[in-house]
Amino acid sequence: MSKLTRWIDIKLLMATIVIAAIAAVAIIYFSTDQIDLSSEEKSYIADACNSCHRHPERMDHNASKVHSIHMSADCMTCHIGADGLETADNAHDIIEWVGIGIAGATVAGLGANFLVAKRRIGIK
Amino acid sequence: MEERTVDRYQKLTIWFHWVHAAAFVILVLTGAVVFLPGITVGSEGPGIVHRVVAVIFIGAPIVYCFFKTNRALQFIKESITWNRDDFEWLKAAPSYYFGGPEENMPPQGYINTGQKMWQLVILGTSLIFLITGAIMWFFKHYIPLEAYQWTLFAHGIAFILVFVMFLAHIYMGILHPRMSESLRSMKDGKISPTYARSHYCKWYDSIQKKEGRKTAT
Repeated sequence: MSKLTRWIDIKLLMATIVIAAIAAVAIIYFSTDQIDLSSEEKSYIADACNSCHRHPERMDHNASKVHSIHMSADCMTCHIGADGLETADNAHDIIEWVGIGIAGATVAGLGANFLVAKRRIGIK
Repeated sequence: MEERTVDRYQKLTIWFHWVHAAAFVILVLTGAVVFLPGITVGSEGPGIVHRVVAVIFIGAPIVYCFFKTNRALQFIKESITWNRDDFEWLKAAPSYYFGGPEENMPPQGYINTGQKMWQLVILGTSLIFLITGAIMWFFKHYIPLEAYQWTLFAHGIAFILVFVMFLAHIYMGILHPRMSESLRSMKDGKISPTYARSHYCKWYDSIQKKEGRKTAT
């Protein structure tokens, strides 16, 4: 492959990356509602939560939970199938810490490898 | 350093590698904001950057396939083609990478078994990221929240796997005493014949034979 052809390839590559980036921004712009809730939705949810949480006499014994009477009306409006959420949440919490542990062990292992290999081989 | 060199990577491949690597690092950083406990950013910024860069991360290989179809197919083929030497490599590698004798290492082709494993992880996890990422991005409001959470879980598992391999990849490419020309090959695409013979004996022999045939004709 000649130098000229290589240069054209790289220009094409860079142009494609720029196009991909513009396309990505466009995709995000047109799918903003998928990234975050709209202000109307946020307002609706805030109203739904406040209907219980701002009135102590209407809250459950466990202050962190919405009153069971209002569960389907409030939580289930957004959280369809909310019963399984706790398991999924716990699983996610576990992998966060497992991930940190595995990454830490890997760094320690590679560090140990470096010290041993450096000593036995030396660095040129 | 020897003056004579062997061509290992083309310029487009090098560019693709660094673009993909940069995208990966940005995805790791922006993903960490969501993934790691205790880190919170009060804006949608990291999430938006994560999505833009995800498009580049998935789009770059597709673009590369378009320009270098044969090389891309070769990449997949060499990743999934394993023979006896690969399993011998797995047995001998721990000792070798801790500074043990080189003679026990079986001869390797264009890439060694460790690189095959890395490529397989990249291919597999990219597929998982593509599927789970698309679900979380575009179908968030159309699936049960529980399904969303499990999709996030799968995304996280794939991330742990690829991140651990990424750490090893960086270490092997930059720091390991025996991989002295690895980084250089991803800068100018060249390695010395001695390094090629030592690390990729089968590949080096094959290109020598080709050169020999060309010289003979």
